[in-house]
Amino acid sequence: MSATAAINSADTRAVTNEVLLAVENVTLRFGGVTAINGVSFDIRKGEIRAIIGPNGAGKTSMLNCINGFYHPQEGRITYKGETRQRMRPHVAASQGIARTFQNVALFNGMTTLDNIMTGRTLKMSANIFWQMLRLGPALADEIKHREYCEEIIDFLEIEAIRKTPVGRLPYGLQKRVELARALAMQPDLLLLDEPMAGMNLEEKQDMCRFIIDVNKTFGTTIALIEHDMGVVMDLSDRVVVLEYGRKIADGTPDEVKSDQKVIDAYLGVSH
Amino acid sequence: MQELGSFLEVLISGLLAGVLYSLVALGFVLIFKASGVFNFAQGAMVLLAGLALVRSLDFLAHHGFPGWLAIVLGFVFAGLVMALCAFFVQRYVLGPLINQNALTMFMATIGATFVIEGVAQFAFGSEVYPLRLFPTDAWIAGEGLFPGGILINKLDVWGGVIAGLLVIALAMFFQYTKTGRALRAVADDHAAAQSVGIPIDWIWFVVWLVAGLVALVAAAIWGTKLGVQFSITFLALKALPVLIIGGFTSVPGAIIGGLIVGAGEKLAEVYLGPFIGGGIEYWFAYVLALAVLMVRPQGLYGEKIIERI
Repeated sequence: MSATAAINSADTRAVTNEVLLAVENVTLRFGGVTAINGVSFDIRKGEIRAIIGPNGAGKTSMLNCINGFYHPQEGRITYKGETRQRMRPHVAASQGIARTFQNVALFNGMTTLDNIMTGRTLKMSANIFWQMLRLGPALADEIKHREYCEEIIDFLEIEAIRKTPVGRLPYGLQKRVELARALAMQPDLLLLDEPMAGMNLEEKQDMCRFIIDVNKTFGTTIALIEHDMGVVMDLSDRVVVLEYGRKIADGTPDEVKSDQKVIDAYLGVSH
Repeated sequence: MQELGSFLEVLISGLLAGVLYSLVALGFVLIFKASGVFNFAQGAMVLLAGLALVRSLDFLAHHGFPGWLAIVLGFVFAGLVMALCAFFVQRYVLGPLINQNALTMFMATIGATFVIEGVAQFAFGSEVYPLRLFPTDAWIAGEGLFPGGILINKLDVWGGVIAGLLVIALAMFFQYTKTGRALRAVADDHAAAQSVGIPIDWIWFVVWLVAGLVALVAAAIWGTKLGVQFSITFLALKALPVLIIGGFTSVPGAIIGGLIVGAGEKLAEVYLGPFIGGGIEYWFAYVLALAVLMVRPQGLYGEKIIERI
């Protein structure tokens, strides 16, 4: 089944008009370079929202602003109705924003399972003394979270590599483990930075299927950056297009596809 | 029997001295595991902890506090000093360097070393201060078995027991707790750790605090043995071969490495010394480390680094 067919059959998805995250007039500068210039858009609860644009358009910078790695000089970011000024990444995480990275960022010294378990860090509550002894409340806690991680592992079909140190895995699987770690956080908003970069066709199809499944099964809102236009057009409900830090288009895949500015940005235009 | 007795005596005193090397090496391993930073300041932290402890004990004794109360208060005070040190290092030295490469942070710890050494001596004085926390006399064991028995320093035994307990506690902390898992995560990748909700500044504070407390324990034992003085910072140099032998990332490695170095140098001194000249003790550890580097660059227990090309 192609990704298109999957999305068409996915009419059970809970896409709403409720705005989960709103970015308003955000400007981000590094010294003299303006990475993002007055960009506004919103992400609605339950949708798959794509951010596309040529290299250097400010897509990853935008994700970094949303999850608190960067602090924009101007503009506002409102998440779950709350506008924030400076937010630190671990606070973003505790509010339900999870992400993956463009260049896989896993904990290479640990196994797949341990990597995924770090995603549960914020949910674990037993105190440190019980934890050290692995008794009482800590044991119950560990078992409960381990069970959840096993569900994620089943879901993403990575049972076989559960105990393998992630440094030894091929790239496609590492990307999948990274997605698993993000899912273990039970996020409300999942940011995926080029989830399919460097994958072969088969791996891309798998990843597409997982992204759709995550959105359908868990109702997770997803914002993704991707260069493969076919994938973007198939997966996403709405697309925002950036170029040189500015927003040049925003709308459904069909609207964006036929937008002259977008065509110019991608194909180049003679001046 | 005489032969075996003296061999055992040398071996045991070497092993127990090795435990003390392990203690210093442990501080390095902790910080390395949690931040990927080779902490050049560990020796300075031992000095700071030792000075804070010995000077507060002197002060308290001078003001007529009973012995045990003075010791408790002295340790609490020194612990607070180490917490303060951890706070400042995290806030002003490492905090601004999150997501920078390990070499940058290593350089920063060299800077921190001089500041800590300077401040410690400025605040607490720069002489040699005797410390008497543990008994320094010796047992004679196994008199029935060996002529003359085996001489064992009580201080060394204390050191061994304390180091053993510390290691067990630390190993459990790293392996089983979510904080331990978070520490390992931070060591591997700052950005990824932040993205799953691990507050790096807090983790770094915790790890520098733990390293500071390990430094305090090391200072208490070494201080009793040698007196608290500036030369205690050179202990950090002895920890280097221990780390290379045991592996930079392994808590048990630090212990085994320390034992090998301690026992090895004492045995070499006694049994090789007469043939190739004395003073082996001073360089033996480094030669051993060199040999390990050639055979197993990651150390006996270190993680093997696999690099994709």
